Amino acid sequence: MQFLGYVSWRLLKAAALLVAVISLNFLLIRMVPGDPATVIAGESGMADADFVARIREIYGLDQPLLVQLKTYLVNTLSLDFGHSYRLQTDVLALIIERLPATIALTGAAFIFSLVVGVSLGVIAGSRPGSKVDVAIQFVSVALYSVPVFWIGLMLILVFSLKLHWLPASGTGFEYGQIPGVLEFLSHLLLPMITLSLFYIAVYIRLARTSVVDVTHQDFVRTAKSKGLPSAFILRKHVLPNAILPVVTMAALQAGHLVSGSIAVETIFAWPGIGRLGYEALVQRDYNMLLGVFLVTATMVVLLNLVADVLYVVVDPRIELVR
Amino acid sequence: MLEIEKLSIVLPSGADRALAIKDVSFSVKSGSTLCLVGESGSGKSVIGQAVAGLLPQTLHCLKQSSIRLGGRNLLSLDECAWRRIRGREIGMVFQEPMTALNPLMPVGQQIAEVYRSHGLRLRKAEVRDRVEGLLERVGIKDPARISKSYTFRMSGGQRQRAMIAMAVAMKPKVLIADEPTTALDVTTQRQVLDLLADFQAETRMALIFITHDFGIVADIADEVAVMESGNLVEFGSKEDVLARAQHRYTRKLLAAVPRLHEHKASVAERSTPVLEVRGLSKTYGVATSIFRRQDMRVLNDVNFKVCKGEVVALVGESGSGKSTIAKCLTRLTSIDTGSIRLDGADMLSLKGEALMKLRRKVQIVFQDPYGSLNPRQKIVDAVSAGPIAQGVASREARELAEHLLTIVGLGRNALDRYPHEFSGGQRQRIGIARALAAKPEVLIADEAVSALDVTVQAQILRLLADLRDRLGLTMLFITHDLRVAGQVSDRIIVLKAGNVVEEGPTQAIFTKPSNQYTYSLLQAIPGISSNESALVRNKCVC
Repeated sequence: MQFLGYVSWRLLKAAALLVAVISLNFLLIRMVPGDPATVIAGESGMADADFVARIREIYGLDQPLLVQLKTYLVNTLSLDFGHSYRLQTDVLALIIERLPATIALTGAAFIFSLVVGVSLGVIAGSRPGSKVDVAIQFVSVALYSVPVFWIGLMLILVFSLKLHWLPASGTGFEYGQIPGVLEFLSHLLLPMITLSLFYIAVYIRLARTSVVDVTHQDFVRTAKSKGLPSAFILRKHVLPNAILPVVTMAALQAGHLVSGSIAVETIFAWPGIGRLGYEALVQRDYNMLLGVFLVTATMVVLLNLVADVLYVVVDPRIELVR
Repeated sequence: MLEIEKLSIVLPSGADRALAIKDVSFSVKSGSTLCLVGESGSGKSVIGQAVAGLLPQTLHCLKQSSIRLGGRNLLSLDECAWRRIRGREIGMVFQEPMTALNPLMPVGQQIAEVYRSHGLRLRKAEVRDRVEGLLERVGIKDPARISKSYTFRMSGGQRQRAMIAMAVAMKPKVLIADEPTTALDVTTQRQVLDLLADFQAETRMALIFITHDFGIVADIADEVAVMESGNLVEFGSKEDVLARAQHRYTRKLLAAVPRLHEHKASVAERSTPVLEVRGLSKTYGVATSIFRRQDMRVLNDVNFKVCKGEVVALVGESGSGKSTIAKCLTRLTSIDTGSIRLDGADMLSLKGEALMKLRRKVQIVFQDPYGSLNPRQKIVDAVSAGPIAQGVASREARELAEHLLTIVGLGRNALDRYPHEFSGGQRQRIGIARALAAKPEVLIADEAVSALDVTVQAQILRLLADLRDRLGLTMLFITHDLRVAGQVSDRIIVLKAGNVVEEGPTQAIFTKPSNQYTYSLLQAIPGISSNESALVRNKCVC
């Protein structure tokens, strides 16, 4: 009961947060110099004052800002994200169409970076000062320092253009046909690795430090004094404690991944919402941009919610209080 | 049974000395208790770790060293053989039961691991029965529930009992207990000591008890080994060491032990109360679920007075509310009901500038000399910050700081140094100088000597007594240690669960306590449970 109460309380908070995000996004966009009406008019090639005024009227841009905000909030909450001026489609429909690609990419990258990063970090942290540790730390620093777009381009250069092992772009869903699982995975591999590398570096460092810290704690000495084998101590005593900071970090990074995917989606022509948002930004497609912001924000809030709930599960010390 | 010969342990280069342990030899017989005594840094814990094969990787033993258990030299064992000895033949109990247990694993499971790691093939139900039986054996009342509990839901005493259960699960031949009662209340300490003695009588194990407390030595030791910076300076039977200590260091340690019944008459002018606490109550809200908060009363209608020039000791176990009183008096926390009057003025109604003025008058010295000084602040700034905030010119404040540091026994060269350059005792002197800088009417010492070694503790207590004579300080001395209270105070107030249960002149409290709880506290003090114990009888040796 207490647990359910906690989850519903957090859900309520998350909903309130989203409403705040929607309003803030809306106001931020309105603060950008430039009038949407003139942009639309410019797009249509008719910039005379009458036309602009008519556009203002049609789109409700002549109303006071707060009224516009109210309209926007009501529409958004009833899942009407509006119409893209440029692409002449419904914003929500397009986002829904593009969302699975982003979820597949970021989800795969998230899991891949966690598994690889934490494993390497634990291997390094359980034998600090060894050659393996030094090597892993070197890799971590290298991955941390190299820019994402450069790695992406290099991977394309080596694995697609030279070796012809993997496709350089797209998902395999283009041209209306449905690819096989292997086909899709071969498309996913390079962008996923590109997006993961930075986070792998972060998790290596975090997991390593955390394992080293926990190894020096008293209860590990106690476990040793009981005569437990060291592999058992690492698995049962060190890891559960060392993983806690990684969970916290992973929750924060999960939201980060979505924004990180903008660059990767652009490099690999991956048809996700990252690229959609980037294009909307360049073309001043406000409704589309707001829609992408909102969906991204919702994902971040949801992921943090999941992390909070997960934290209660992995750490019994978290008292369920307001 | 356990023979240590020529044990020398090398410290990494750059340490303050080359050897952590220098050529130490002694032996412990089955069924007997050896107390390993010394101050922090003396190497007593390192010996314990060496015997249990738990030396940190940075330390290693010299070649000629040997630790023999049943004929084998433990130091020549490989990790695999060590693993079979640890937990089965040598058990270990650590000082801090909170950190010595895994916070994410129920304690029952942590105890069950001992059986599993030593190859006992038991069915689940058997393991559960054994674990619960063991928990019951160490005096845990609800073993089935505690077995499934995490450590953060257990009291300090329960944790240490669980720790002991873990260490004795395989009935080891040797048990090493490294300050196992230092983190516990005096009554809990008494119970844990009794429990260990009980087990020893039952299993005839050899007990190596590492401690800094001569009271405990007087209670439980058969033999005593005194360590000073890595050297074994004295070894002998308890009677010999306590009554006829040969080495000057042992005599110095013994002299530093706070004693009961050793008090001079009060010098306070009893007429004018400086501090008057009336009907003080304080409740903390504790959340029991997301929608419910339960109120926990930490102070319940507390009344007392402190007169000018008087030292009053506030004594109680953890959770008795003594530190909450300190926080209320310094206005660091709010108060539910009641009044606090300082020099007749109501302290609680003050705000803003008047409150600032008041803060000057009540100063506090905290328990932890490490945590209570800002590590990036020079000593002179730490000491003069108070006066400067009160409007003293910075040049004058510096002179004042210099003067005060001299008074507390530190030279003027302390002024421009940082806290990490000082020892715990020196830091506590700085803390006292800082408190005195404000020229307080009342000085509150909140467990100010609890974290210190016994000789350092004695020095700080002497300093406080001296300051009191010279400056006519009025002091509220908060402590859990009745021996310390007995040494410094004119009057003692005994607190239990937020209530004042007894109050009276120090001498009277010690000789004729009228409250049962005070009596049990007195009885629990190690070294005086039998009033004729060697320590008390021979208090004039030094």
